[in-house]
Amino acid sequence: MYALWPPLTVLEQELFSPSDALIQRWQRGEDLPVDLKRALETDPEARARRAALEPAASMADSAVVDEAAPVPPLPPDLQVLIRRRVAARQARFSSVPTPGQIVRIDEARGPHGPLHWDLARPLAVLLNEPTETPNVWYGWLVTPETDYAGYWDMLLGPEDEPCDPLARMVQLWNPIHLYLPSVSRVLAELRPERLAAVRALAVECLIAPEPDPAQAQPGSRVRRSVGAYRVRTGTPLGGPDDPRHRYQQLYHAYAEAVREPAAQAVALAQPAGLLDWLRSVRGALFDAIGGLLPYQPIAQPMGETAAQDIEHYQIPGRLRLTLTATADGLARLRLENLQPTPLQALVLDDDEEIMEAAHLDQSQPVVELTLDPGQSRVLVIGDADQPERYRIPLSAPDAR
Amino acid sequence: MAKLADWDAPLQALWQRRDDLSEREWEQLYQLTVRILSAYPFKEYQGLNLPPEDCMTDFFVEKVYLPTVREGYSVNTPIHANALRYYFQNFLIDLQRANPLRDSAPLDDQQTEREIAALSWQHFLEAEPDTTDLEDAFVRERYQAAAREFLEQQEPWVGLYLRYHLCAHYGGETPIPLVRFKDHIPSYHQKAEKLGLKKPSGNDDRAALRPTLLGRWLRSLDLSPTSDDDHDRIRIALKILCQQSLLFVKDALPCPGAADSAHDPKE
Repeated sequence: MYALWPPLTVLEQELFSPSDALIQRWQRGEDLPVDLKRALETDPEARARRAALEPAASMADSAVVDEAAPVPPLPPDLQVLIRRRVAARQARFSSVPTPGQIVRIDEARGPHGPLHWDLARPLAVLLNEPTETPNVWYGWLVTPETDYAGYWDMLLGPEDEPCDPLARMVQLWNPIHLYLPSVSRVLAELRPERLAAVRALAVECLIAPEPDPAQAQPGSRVRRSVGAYRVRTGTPLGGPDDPRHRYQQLYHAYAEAVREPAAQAVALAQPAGLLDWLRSVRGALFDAIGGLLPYQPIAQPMGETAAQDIEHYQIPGRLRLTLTATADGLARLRLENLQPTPLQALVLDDDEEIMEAAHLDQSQPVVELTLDPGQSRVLVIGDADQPERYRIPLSAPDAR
Repeated sequence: MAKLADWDAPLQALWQRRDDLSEREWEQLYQLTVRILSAYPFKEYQGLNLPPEDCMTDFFVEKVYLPTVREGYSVNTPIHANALRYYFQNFLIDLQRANPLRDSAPLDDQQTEREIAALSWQHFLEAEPDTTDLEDAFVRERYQAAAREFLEQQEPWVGLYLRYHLCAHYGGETPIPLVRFKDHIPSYHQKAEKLGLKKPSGNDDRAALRPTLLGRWLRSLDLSPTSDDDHDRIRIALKILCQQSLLFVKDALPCPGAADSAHDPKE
C-alpha cells in the first residue's frame, strides 16, 4: 500500500525512463533521432525493457480470453474521471489563447519543429498572460497528483468544471513560459474569479514567509483565505523525509519540456547579437556597481521576469535596476531610487555629450531608459556628494 | 473463448482515438484492458498486497487514461494485446520497487491515532458534520446524485452490505455481522475488504482505504479520509450514501434470523 498515490517510483519511471511506447518504437526499428537511439543503446534499463518486450511481441499468442467472463463495473473514481474528460472535450473553450485557460502539451515543439523528446505523459499549463515575445505566454504548471499538494499548490474543484482530470492542481511554485505552438488542446477555462484567486495565491507565494514545516501533513488538504478568496491547497512541506520534496523536483525537471521550446522562441525573437550585448551590459553593471545582487520582484509570478531576456538587480535599500530586451531589438533599463537622497542618471555619448538626463527623487523615483546596442553610450549615476558614483559603459561587444 | 490476438484490432482502434472517446468507448477500452490482462498470470502480483483488479484499474488510470495524447503524434504508439501485457508488467515492477516506507512521511503518535480512527466508517457516521463552511445545497445535491449512481452501477452485494451492515442503524435496525453474509455472497470476506468494510491484512493503515470501493467513491467526490479538512464532507457523503442505500436496496437479505447474532464478538 502507498500513502500517497501514485508512488514516486512509478511517477519517476513514467516521467524520466524511456517510455513504453519509445521502447516499442525502438524495438520495431522505427526511425529515431541518432542521439536518442544512442542513448537507448547505452541505457541498461532501456535494453532490459527491450529484451522483455521482444519475446512478448514475437511469441505465438496462445493465450485465450473467456469472452463470457464478467468484467466488474467501472470503479466510481474512474467513472468520474472519464465523465469529466468527456465533458471537457464537449465544452466550447475559446480558440484564442486566453488568461485562465489550461492547455495540454503533448510533445515538445519549438520554433524549429518537434524536439523529439520522449514525453511519456502530456503536461498541462495554466495561461496567465502573454509575454513580449510573440507566441510565448507566462503561466504555471498544472498536474493531476493531488495527493502531493503542498502549501503553494492550488487545488481545482467542481467550480472549475468542465475541466479535464489531467489538470487538478496549479503549481504556483513552478512558474513557466510556454511556446503556444506546443499546445495540442484546451483542457479547461478558469472563471475570472478563480484566476484572480490563483494570482492572489501566487503573490502570497512570493511575499509570505516560509510556512511552518511543523504543519506538514502529506496527503492532507486545507481550505484557506487568500485576500478575498477561499482556496484549497495542501499543507506546508515538512522535513527531508516529506515525499513532496522529491515530487516537486521531478515536476520541476519534467517541465523543461515546456521551458525549452519557450526559451528557444525567446532567443529566436532577439536580433543577432542582442543577447551578447545584454550579457556585456550586465557585466558592466556588476563591474561598476559593487554590491549589486539579482533579485525576484513581487510581480514575478504575474508576468515575465523569469524569462532569460529580463533581469532584475538591486542594492537593497539604495537602487534597483531592471534590464529588459524588447521585441524590436532594443533594451530597456529601468532605474529606481530606493533612498530618500536624490540620484541623477545621465546617458552620455562617445563625446561625453548628455543624450538623456533624469533626476530621481521621492516624488519621481523611477526612470526608464531605452538603449540601442548599435550606439555606444555611457550611463552615469551619481548624487550630490559624488556625481559620478557609478560609470557604466553600454557599448556593443564588438565596440569595446 | 477468443484468442487474445483477435482483440488487437478493437484495442488498437480505441487506443489510438483515446483523445476523443465517448464515455461508452472509454468503458469498452477499460473492459478490453481488464479482459486482456486477466488472461495472463503475472507473478509480479506477489508481494503487492493489492488485488489484481485494483492493479489493473490503477494501471488503466496511470498508463492508459492519463497519458492520452492527440491522435497521430509520434508518442501515440500502436498497441496490441502483448504490448499491453508488457506495459502492465512494467507497471507492476514499478509498483514493487515503490517502498511504501520511503514514500511515506513518518507519522507521530497523534497522527497515527488519527489515521487509524479515520479507517472506521462508523466514526464518520456517528459524528455530526459541521456544515458552516459548506456550500450546503450544492454539496448535498452532488453527493446525492453520486450516491444513487454508485448504488445503481455496482454489483448487488454492495447495496446489501451497505443496507444491512454499515447503514442498518439508519433504518432503526441492528447491523448484521459480516459473517452472516457468508452463505449468500460468494467470497463475502474479500468483497467486504473490497468495499472497505474490513481492513486488508498486512496493509498500511493510512492507505488501506484508497483502493476500496468506498475509498474510490469518496475519491470520485474529491474527498480523502486522511485529510482532516475533508472530514465534515465525508460525514455528509456517507450519511447520504446510507440514506440512499435504505431507499434504493429493496432486496431483503436472504438470511433470516441473521440479526439474531448481531452482537457476534468476532465482528
